[in-house]
Amino acid sequence: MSKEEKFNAIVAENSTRIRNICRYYNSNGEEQKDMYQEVLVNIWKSLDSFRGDSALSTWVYRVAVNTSLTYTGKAFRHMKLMVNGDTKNLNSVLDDEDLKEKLEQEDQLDKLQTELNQLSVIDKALISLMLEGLSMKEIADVIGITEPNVKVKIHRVKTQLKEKLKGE
Amino acid sequence: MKTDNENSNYTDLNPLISKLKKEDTNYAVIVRAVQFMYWIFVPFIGIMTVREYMDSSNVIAIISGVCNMLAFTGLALSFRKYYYEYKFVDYSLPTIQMLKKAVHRYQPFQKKSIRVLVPLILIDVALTLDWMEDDTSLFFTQAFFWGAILFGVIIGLILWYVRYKPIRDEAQRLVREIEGE
Repeated sequence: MSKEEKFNAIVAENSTRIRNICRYYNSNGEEQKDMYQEVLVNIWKSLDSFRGDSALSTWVYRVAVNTSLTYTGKAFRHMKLMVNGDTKNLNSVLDDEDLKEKLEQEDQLDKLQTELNQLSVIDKALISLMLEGLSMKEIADVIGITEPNVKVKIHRVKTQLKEKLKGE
Repeated sequence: MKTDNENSNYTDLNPLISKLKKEDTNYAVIVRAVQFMYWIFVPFIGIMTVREYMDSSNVIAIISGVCNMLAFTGLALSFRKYYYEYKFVDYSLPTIQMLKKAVHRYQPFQKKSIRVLVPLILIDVALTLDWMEDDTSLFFTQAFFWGAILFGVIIGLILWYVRYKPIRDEAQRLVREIEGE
């Protein structure tokens, strides 16, 4: 299989995943497209190093998350994590039934959005992967830290978010 | 295989692939240019050295020529390696590894840079031997050569400070944050 065929196959199979990651970090459609294109460029550049040691989806998520961290189109210090009512697995961010119900109200969602954007860049990356439905093990594989470490970090973020939202 | 129809609306892959292929070609052209230096320029110095020796029967010409040939060979090989390392960042590494590599890549001084000192010393030896033939003082030659190198290093450091230090610092901060707990 040529590099071009391999690339086309990966993009065809994973474009939704890549687009989702791009949507988390850009509210503007044009910016999403620019970042999507940058992820594709980095997939092409990294293609020769794909040995199949990890699942293809994990590999693609790594490229997408790493691109988001180094995305040249915007200062990532100000990078936002965008969510909306349709965001998949949004409830998994808050393991709290009361808050889940509250989230259905638009103003609570806005508050969550504001709090998410107070998070550090790495915490945003962790949450974006969680919203994608990745397991703790898969998130650990993408970021390169241990599974218990991922659990600790995510637990801390969830607690922080719950406290902030309940306190409102 | 599952294909995604939305993909075609999102970005047109064909122009992108053409652009990427062009970039690969540009890389190949640069590598060829370095190989050209290696295969053409180095033997050229060799031929000039032999000719000079035949004209003057001076063994200094041979030593100087060999030093230059070794130096340019070393520089050509180092350039190829450095160019590849800096041009192609592997985004498929786990985030922490990619960031650590970025921190390392954007350090102003690296252990492996010491290897570049060998060709530089060889060029210095060649230059010193050549200029000694013209009665230039050893002190002047050394001051001139290492002064020029120092000037280059200072310019490089200024560029690093403005362009690469912020990237290194930010990558370092993210590494600390990931390893924080």
